[in-house]
Amino acid sequence: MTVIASKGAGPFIAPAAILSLLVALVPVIFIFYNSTAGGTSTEAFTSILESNLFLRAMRTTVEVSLLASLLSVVLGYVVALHLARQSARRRAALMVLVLLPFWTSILVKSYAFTIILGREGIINSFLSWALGAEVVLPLIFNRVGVMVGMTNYLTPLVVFPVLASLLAIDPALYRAAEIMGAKPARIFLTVTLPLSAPGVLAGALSAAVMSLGFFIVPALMGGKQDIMLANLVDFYTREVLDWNVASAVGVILFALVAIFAVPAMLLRGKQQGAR
Amino acid sequence: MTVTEPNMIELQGVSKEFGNFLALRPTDLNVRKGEFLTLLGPSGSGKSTLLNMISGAFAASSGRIMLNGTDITNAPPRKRGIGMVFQNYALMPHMTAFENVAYPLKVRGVSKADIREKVTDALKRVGLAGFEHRKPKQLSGGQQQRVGIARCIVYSPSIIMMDEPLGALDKNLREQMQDEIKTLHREIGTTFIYVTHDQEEALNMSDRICLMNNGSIVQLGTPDDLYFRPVNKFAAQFIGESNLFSGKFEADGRLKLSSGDGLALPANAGIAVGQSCQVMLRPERVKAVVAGDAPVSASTQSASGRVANVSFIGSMTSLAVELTDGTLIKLKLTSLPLQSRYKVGDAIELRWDAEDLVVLREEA
Repeated sequence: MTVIASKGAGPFIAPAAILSLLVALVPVIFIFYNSTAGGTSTEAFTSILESNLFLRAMRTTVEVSLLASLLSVVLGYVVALHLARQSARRRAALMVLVLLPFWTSILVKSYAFTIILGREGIINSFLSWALGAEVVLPLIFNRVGVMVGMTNYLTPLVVFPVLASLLAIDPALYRAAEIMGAKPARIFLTVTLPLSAPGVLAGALSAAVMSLGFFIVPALMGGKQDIMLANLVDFYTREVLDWNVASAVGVILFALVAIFAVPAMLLRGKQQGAR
Repeated sequence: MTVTEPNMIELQGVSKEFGNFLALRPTDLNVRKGEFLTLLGPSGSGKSTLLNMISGAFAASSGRIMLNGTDITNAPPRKRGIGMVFQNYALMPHMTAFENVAYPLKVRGVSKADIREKVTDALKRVGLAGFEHRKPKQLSGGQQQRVGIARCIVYSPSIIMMDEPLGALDKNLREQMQDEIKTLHREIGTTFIYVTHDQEEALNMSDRICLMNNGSIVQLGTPDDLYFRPVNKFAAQFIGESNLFSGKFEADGRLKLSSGDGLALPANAGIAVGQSCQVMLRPERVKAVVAGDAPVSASTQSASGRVANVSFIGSMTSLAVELTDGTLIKLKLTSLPLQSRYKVGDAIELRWDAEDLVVLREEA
């Protein structure tokens, strides 16, 4: 809102805004309309809220999203910490490597992971060879596979907000803490961590928002237990052909995403305002 | 009086290279216990490099650093027990004033009750009682630096180093805080090492000044030594204003200037006949007199000329006078109202005492 209000921004924002309205808002309205059968019935909602399948998928979605976000934040934080300690030149080069996974479609990557994680995959083959016995670790088509796939996708998204907040810390603070006698672990806990918290929060929220709607990874790398809400929408749309219920699931997923997306947006606005 | 005090810091042949750049030539420097030593110099002179090596921010390329008799050359900063005040305060932005000052005590495992007492005391000492719960952002620059000073004195470090601590403050506040820091030094008696590029700050605050340029020490001495007895042209020009004359020392005891005139030198100048040298005269030692006044003593010199420029800068008025032989000489007079001040073009008669001329050494 504040952006639109700033003078002269209108002509620049208009094209993207109009496009977003057409391709995003109109379908969303359609789905809301559809889920209530034209605003007259709540039957679709009551039926899925009583459905075991839906409740399980809902639980899986929340569990998987939170765990994947947590893992991504931990992994992303370590990467960001390393990047923050490099010279600007080296950091730029390393950031290209962080973005490298985005050069490949998530669909291709999910298939590629089967080669690495599968029964006869690289990891199991190597372990079998190294231990001299048949090793078949269940690494894919289960929760582990979903986590590997999702973390792989989400980690780079966490790296950037965390890196930005790490780089915003005045290096003199580290010198001051050190001169005052603090050991590295204490400096990390009392200076680095609290001052990078806004970046961590922003990264975690955007990872959570992204992961709630994941479809391909649970479909290709998960097992039967790992059906998420997006997969359920697909199931109702293509197999049960009940668009009414599919829309209701979509609306609930939309609300779930909003719970994480709104704080993320507010936080981002606050950070940019502070700069 | 401080001469008998033992050395708190001893630098023995300490140098620092960054790649091919020699930031500090091998340097010896002793800092006495309890003294206020200022490292003064232009940017790039090596003063901050020197400070950072004492604090341990980076390692010396050669030499030894002794702190209170212990070799700390390779000790990490946290083991040196030094206090530091930073130019940009370096306060933890997420902590209150109280928490900032408590930080070094927490690190040292001091009990909660003692922390409360010591922090309250330190904040009171810097005039910030009642500001305990403010975050740095809610404090003015001067207040933030007071927190920085409190954070330093609270754990009684063996030396307190200040790296241009007043550099970010405006002039009036800077002068006020100079006096506060001076008083603090007198009260707590800790050794202070202070870095500044502001000569007035150095003259006002220090027991001794270490003047630096191009990575080495130019002169080490009391403020009086540096002002009245600068060793070379750099020292003479960096501290205060100066008139410089160069020429050849003649058998008649005068310095023959390029203009052809002779300049009387102090009786014990110690220069060999035929030697070239440079001499300095402080503008405030030159007096303007009413023409025809008799010389006051044998060493009194006089010259006449015309006023070439007048700068009224408040308490003092600077004049540039062109002497009859074309030499320009600056002088400083106590300001008078406009109608009584000299004007450009006025004829003027100058006097100074030959004993006020300082013979400068060639720069290394």
